Amino acid sequence: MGQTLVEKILARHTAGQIRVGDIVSVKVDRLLINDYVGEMIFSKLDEMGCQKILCPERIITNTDHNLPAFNVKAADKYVLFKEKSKQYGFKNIEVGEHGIGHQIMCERFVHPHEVVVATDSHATMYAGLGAFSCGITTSDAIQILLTGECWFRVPQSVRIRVKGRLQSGVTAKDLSLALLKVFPPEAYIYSAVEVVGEAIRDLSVDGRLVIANLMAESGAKCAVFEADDKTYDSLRWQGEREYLSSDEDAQYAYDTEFDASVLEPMLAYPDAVINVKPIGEALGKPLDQVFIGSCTNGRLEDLLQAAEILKDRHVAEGVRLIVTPASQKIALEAVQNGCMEILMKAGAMILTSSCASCAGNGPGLIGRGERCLSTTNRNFKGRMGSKSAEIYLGSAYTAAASAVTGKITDPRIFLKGDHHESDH
Amino acid sequence: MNPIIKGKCWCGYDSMTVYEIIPESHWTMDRMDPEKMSDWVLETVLPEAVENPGYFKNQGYSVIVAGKDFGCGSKSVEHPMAALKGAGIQLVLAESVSRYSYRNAINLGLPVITCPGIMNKMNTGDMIEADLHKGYLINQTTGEQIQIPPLSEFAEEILKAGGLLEYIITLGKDKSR
Repeated sequence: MGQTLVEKILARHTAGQIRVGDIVSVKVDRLLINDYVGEMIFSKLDEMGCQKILCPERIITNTDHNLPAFNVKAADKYVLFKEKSKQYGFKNIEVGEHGIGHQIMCERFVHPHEVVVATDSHATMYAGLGAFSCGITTSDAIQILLTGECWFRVPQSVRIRVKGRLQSGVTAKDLSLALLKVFPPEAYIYSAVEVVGEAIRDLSVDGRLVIANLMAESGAKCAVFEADDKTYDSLRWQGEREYLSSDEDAQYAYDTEFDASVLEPMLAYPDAVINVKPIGEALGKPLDQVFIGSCTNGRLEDLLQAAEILKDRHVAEGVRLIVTPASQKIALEAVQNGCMEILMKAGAMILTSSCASCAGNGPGLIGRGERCLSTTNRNFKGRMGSKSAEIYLGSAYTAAASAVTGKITDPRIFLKGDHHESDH
Repeated sequence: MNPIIKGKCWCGYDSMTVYEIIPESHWTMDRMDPEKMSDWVLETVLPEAVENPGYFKNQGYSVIVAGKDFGCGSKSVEHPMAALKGAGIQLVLAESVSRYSYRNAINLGLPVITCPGIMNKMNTGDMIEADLHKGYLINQTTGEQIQIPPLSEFAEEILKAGGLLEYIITLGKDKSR
């Protein structure tokens, strides 16, 4: 019987054979520790009397949830991260090269066919570069620090073959929302969701990262993508290029085709990410805030989409448009290519790279009774601020179009001609 | 861990989130205190537990029976499973389990078994006896015998040690010392 791509990657990182359902110990190539649970990990290491880490060069530490520190607690956390990273020899991401941890990992530390994990759910994103990746817990992180390995249950694979080409104004975000609903919920839980096909090859690497990121919301263990020349080009890969894919006779618990060419702009409606429907039912709903950012959709492709609509236009009166590039590197690129000027002239407030309001504990929160359209990845009650606020999730195109009109708007009314996002 | 577990069941429902198991306001992010957290287990789920610390714990349940996607909400934090342990829970039987909660439970030494159909066979208050090694369970209240999947070898090793960190130390896998 053939192997799926995820089985091939895991097999390279374990000593013995692997079978679906087995629990195996897997060599971890990289681990990101973020500020959400970092303190717990460091205090546990102290408690265990740990003096030395097995492979400190594989460990990256990053603070992104409260950046820059806006209270003493957050400031103290930075002190702790700096001290502990120095003590153990971890790579701590400094201010100036800062950004959302998952984005930094994809820019600098993730390579195809590696096993890369982080202490945060949206680590599924690294699959967009052809890696095996998922979120892990505090104890898992300690196992990696002490042994270089982590236990995993070998997941069953499910596959979505995406055919066709996305229409103008329809993005990887719309596709990623739609892909959460292709199978019944139980098909995703604890599965490796392999996303392949011509529409995926057609997507930019930025776009693939969106799908891999949002797949965390399906309950999947991980997303799985093939690395191709676009992947290697984006990494400025110098070495030999390896192209791995699932065997033709590999087994899938669920396997289906999805036609991207008929897809419309999609939204996740309040108050659940899987409450996905076409934009139609929400059109015209007045907005108080529009947020473009996060590890899901704060990349250059998103900022360019927003600028395409906001060029020579202005945000509607009474609406706050907040834009947070996912990393300092992206912010700089957006300054250099003129994108930032367009956004600022249109009335956007630009924040330095961080998780910002996405996780509900950074700047840009929404208040009582407000409605927000956001490019982020979660819309539970209270996720971005007040529990009485409503959050809709959509693409950067939809966000920018809605900021201009002040209400939820189909971005296609602002876009003319046969445009494709992969043309950027 | 003793593979034989006896005790009283509390039956939950489908899609029980980590926030329902223990509200986020009780997740202390510097370090965990399972004993303290256990006072607030199911605080927002059971009307009697509101502003009544220790309510769930004091009912003397040992087993949680839950529906699909137990412990969902995609949170990596260990507090919810630690709080259940603190409240005296020794075993979770669920139709299916969210991956973080599965990992956290095993890592903390709390056995979790996926048993499709279990919700139809149990009621809150039923007394059970389960053998996790052999993979069977007796509902002593109804008399029904139920097959359950035995623990995987690896999970049993971790549980025997009392949790993942204890397992690493016991096996001398901790190469850093």
